[in-house]
Order: sequence, then structure tokens, then C-alpha cells
Amino acid sequence: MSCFAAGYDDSVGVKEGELVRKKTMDRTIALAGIRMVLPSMLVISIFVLYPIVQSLWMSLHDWNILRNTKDFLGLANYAKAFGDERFVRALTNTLVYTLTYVPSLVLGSLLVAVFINYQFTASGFFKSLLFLPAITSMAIVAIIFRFLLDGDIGLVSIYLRNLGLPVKDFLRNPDTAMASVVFTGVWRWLGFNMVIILSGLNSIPDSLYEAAEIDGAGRVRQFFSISLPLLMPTMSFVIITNLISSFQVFDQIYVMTKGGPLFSTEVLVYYIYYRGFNVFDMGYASAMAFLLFCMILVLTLIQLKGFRSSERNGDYS
Amino acid sequence: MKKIVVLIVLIALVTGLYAGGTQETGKKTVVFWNGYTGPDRPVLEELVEQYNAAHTDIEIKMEIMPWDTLFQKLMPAMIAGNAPDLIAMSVGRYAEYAQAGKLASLDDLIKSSKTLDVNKLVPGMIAAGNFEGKQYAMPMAFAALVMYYNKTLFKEAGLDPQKAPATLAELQDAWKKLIKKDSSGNVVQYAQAIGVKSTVPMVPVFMWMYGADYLKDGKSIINSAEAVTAMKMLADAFKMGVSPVGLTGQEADNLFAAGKAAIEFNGPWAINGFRGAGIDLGIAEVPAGPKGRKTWGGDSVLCITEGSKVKEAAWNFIEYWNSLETQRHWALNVGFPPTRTDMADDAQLKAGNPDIVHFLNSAPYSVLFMAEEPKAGRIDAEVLVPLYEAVTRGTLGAEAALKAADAKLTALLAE
Repeated sequence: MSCFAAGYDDSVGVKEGELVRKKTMDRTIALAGIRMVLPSMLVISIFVLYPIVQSLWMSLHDWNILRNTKDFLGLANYAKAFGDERFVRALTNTLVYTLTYVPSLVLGSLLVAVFINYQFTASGFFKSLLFLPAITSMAIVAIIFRFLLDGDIGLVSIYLRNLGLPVKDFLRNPDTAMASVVFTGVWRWLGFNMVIILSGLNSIPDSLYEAAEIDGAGRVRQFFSISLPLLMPTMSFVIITNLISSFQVFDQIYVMTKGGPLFSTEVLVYYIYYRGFNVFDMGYASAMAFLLFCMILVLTLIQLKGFRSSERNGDYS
Repeated sequence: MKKIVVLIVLIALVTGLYAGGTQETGKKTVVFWNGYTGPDRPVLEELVEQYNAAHTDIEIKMEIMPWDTLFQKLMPAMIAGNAPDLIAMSVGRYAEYAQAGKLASLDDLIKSSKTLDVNKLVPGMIAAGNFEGKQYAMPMAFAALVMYYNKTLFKEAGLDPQKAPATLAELQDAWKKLIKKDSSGNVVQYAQAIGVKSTVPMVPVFMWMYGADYLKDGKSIINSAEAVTAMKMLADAFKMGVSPVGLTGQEADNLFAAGKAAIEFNGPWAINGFRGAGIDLGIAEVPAGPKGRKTWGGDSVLCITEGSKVKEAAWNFIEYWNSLETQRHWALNVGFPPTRTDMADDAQLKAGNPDIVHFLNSAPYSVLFMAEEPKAGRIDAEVLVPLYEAVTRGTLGAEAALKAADAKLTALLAE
């Protein structure tokens, strides 16, 4: 509302009557604005805000959604989570996933983007090839990788075994299952993030590189002194979005391992899903979902702060 | 002008939706959900069509979807009040819904029934359908686990393909001969594919061989000396390379169908798939253990939802389903043994489908695994799968794993 009014607030040198007219006009415009956002606000309220409030309410109860029984518990569900072995393990697994997935994905896409950016022959072809997984559904990708990585009938295992490597089984082994799931995630999202970083690279003015070349900077120096600092806004976007999505990882785990073997790939969202939709213990599941929400919120705030300062440092204008 | 046009279109749309939603009166529509997506689907569809053709007042509207989809949709549908009238589900799943008050008690319908005598149905299935003194579930399909073996692989290993192992000792002897390893020690052919998760109960068959069991009167009896012996035997077997670790039921089936495992315990639904994959299939009853022989027997039941407005019509279909003719047709075409006990000597059945003999013979010693236990699904996922995985991978000793499982099971049952 205030932004609508702001442009009309220039009342210096305006006569009394006109000021009144201006004010009523402000109201009309403000009302028009409200009317314009009302439909989308209505939809958001029904489908986003109301469920959030409802699930907060649920998280304070022992709420079995099948039997529709609810007993008020207060914060007991939240306390229960930290004593729950599976929740703690799921949290640890989520952190392991995030700390392996995000760095490998971001560094991988950066590397690929920098190479593609050199515009060699067929770079366009490789660009589309790498982007292809992004238009495929994650569930399909996960099904395909489940077959490829199968220890007995999977292509990958057979090739590796023929090379003489001691391949056991990727998904049925608790030591390698997480790595396989991370790999599948990286494969799926690498091309997508590459395209975002490429657009960041393209927006850097050529004149900077030309100047650096005259000053005698090599390619590596150019990358670290020009590309990387100026990419920081793009990188912050890529890192934050991937960090959030890595905390919410679910699809490939549901399809490939169902949290197994021996809970080695059970991440938070999968455990929340299990509690909510298999055990129907919706109160506890909502409480865990809120804990996850708080974690993501804190993480995002810290990151935004950190990147804002690095963005300022890299500001060249 | 535009406003009016939009309004008219909107009104037309809304009324159109309402018109689509109303039921035509006179004919009772029974919405029937089930998960028969496999080769049994056309047979089921044919039987339902026959029923619909013979009944002018009732129409069975069948919605077939994969089982996991069915269970995902069922809970929201029940809460929203648009649940189906009739549901087929695994006998292990119904108790959860009965306990929640979502299923109708069938006692009055059974009492007043003129065509269906409960005493003629498989007693184990009827007993399993009884939850806290009330009958909530009637048999849809009966099945038992038998032992499938690959005759070609038996011949290659020097075993008699006509004589399957009848005892655990003979089975263990066969295992040793059936495992094949390459030069670097990797197993290239497994003796038996043993699924430990998302599977029919394959491991319990071994537990029962030693007289071990899981629950008694709602309490855990899992940590017994018999169970320790059984788990130790399995741990040794997996170490030897009898089966890959951590298989799901589907993966175990795939291995057997690919000829990479020589034996599998499975139900009648697997026969066509295995033959279709070109396996020279041998069928036998599961081997007897030192303390006896039990196999899993169960499969699916039919339940009527509490909120249904056409309970009598749905019950009429249950009567039709368990009739002699329907069961004969089902058994002959799908290969499932009938849900009736008075058909064991049915000549037409025996001549038409010789495989059925093995299942009929298994029926007397078949047990329903945790059928009346509402937490069966959770027990499997949270206690049994971790137990089997820990033991078969050797991450925990049999004693320690069973002790942990017992503690978890007791805590879960008390929840």
C-alpha cells in the first residue's frame, strides 16, 4: 500500500483542496491495489497459510489422523524428537547428505559452466546434453539409477566388476547407499545449476577480462580475480536454493532405498513422511516438520547475511 | 457484457460438476478398490463383468490401482468421507482400519446370509478377519508360500530335479551345491533368494522351522533360544553366499526369474511370471525344520467401509465372490487356491490346474502372520527388517540383534 502511495506523496506546493483530492485518490489507488492482490492472497491463504497454521496446531497434539484422536500435549512432541533415536539419526543423515551433495553439486556445476563458457565447438550440444536430466522427473531418474546400480543385474556394477574392481552392491550396502543417492541427486541437478551459473558468467562485462589480459593476468588469475567475485550473487542463489532443497531431499530416497538399508539413508523428510503417512502420527510428524523449518530458516538467514557482505566486497560499479 | 458471459460460463461449469456428481437412483453403485494390477487383473475384471451382467439392481464400479497407491489414497479418502464401499486389502492391513473404526462389522450380514456358510471358508482366514470379537474381513484370495526351484540349475549342480529338498538339512545340503562363485570369490549364482523387506514373510518360514515365533497374546516372544538358533543359521547361510543381503521381495523375484538364484519361497502369483521368464519351474512345499513345518498363508480380504451406504449390495458381491463357481473360475485362471475348504477334491480344479495341489497341501500348516495385529506394518518396518538386515549382514550377533528387537517390539506394542 505504502509503495502505491509513495509516488503521490509529493505534496509540496500543492493547494489545500488539491491535497484532499490527492488523499482520496491515494485511497482509491490503494483500494485498487488490495483488490488486485486479493485473489492471489485468497489462494495463498487457503493453500499455504492455513495448512501451515493447522500443522503448527497439530504439532502441539498427539494427533492420530486415521482414528482422528487428538490430545493436547503442548511442546512434548518437540521434546520427544530429541530423545528419538531415529530422528537424531535422520538429522545426522540429512547433514551428511547436505555436506556432500551441496559442495559436489556447486563445484561440479561451476567447473562445467566455466568450461562450457569457453564456447568451444559443440559446446552448445554439451550444454543441452547436460541440461537434459533437469527436464526428467526425479522419480524416473531414481528408478533408472536403482536398476543401473543394482549389484547383481545393474549395468554399472557389471562394467566396474569387469574392470576388476571389487564392487559389492551400491544401494544394498549401508556404506555406499548414501553416496549413491547423493550421486543421483548431483547427476539430476548439475545441468540445471550449470545454466544458472552460465547466465551469471555471461553478465560479466568482457571489458574486465580484456583489461586483465592487458595487465598480464592468465586464465586462472582471471577466474579467481574476476569471474569468481562477480559470480558471488549467482553463487549465493545457487548455494542457498540447493541447501534448502538438500534439506528437503525425499524423491530419490523414497524410490531408491526407502531409507534403508539399516536406516543409512533415512533423512528427515523421509522420516516425517513415514511418521505421518505410515504411522498416521500426524502430530509428531508436524512437530518434526516445524523443527526442519526452523533449521532451514536459521541456515538461510546466516547465509543471506554472509553473502550480502561478500556481494558488497565484490561490487565493481 | 463480458461479466455476464463469464458468470454464465461459471454457472454452467458449476452445475455441470454437480450433475456429474449425482448418482442415478434405482441402481446401487458399489465402489470397489483393489490392487490386482498383475496378470490376475483380466480374470477379476471378467468376474466383475459377469456379476454386473447378472444383477440389474447392483453395479460394481471397480477401481484398480497399485497396492501402495491404494493405501496412500485410502486414508485421505476415509477422512474426506469419500471412501470406497468395498476394499480388498492384504489381511495384515485391515486391523489398523478396523481399530480406527473405519470398517463395518459384518456379523449381522453373515448371520442373515442365505448363500454363504462361513464354516466352508478357510478357517485361518476367517479367524484372521476377526478383530476383537467382531468379523471385519472376509476372504478375497487365499495363498500360501511354497518353494519354487529352478530345475535346470538343480541338474547343473548334480541335484535331482524331480526331488526337491523336503527338510532343512536337505535344503542346506542343496545350498552348498547350488552356490557358484567366480575366480575372485564373487557369487555369480545364489542358492536361494531370500527377501528381507517389502516382501512376503520369507524369513519367518526359517524361524518357524526351529519353533520360534514373534508375538503371543499381544506380547513379544521374539527373543527365544529357538530364535537365536534360527538367526545364527541364517547368518551363516548369508555369509556363505546363499542369498544377497538386503533384498526386497521384488528384487528376490527378479533374481530367481533371471536364473541367478536357484530357490525362492513365494506365493501362487509368481508362477506365471517365472514360467514366462523361461524358468523350468519346480514347485514343492516348504521344507520341514527340526521343530516342524509352517508356512505363511493368507493374502487378501474384502472389507466394507463403515461409511458405506450400500453395505447390503457390497455384501452380496462378497457372497458371489466366495461361491463355488467363482472360486473355481478364479483358481483355474489365476492359480490361487480357493477360499473354500470344500473344494480340495474338486476334480475339475485338479485337472485344470495341477499347480494348485501344492498350495492346497500347504493350507493345513499355514499360519497368518500377525494378521490381527494393528501395528503389523510398523512392526515389520521398525523391528523385523532392521533385525533381519543386522543379522544377515553380520553387523550384529544373533543374540544382540534379537535382544534389541525384543526391546523395540515391547516398546512399540506398549505405545
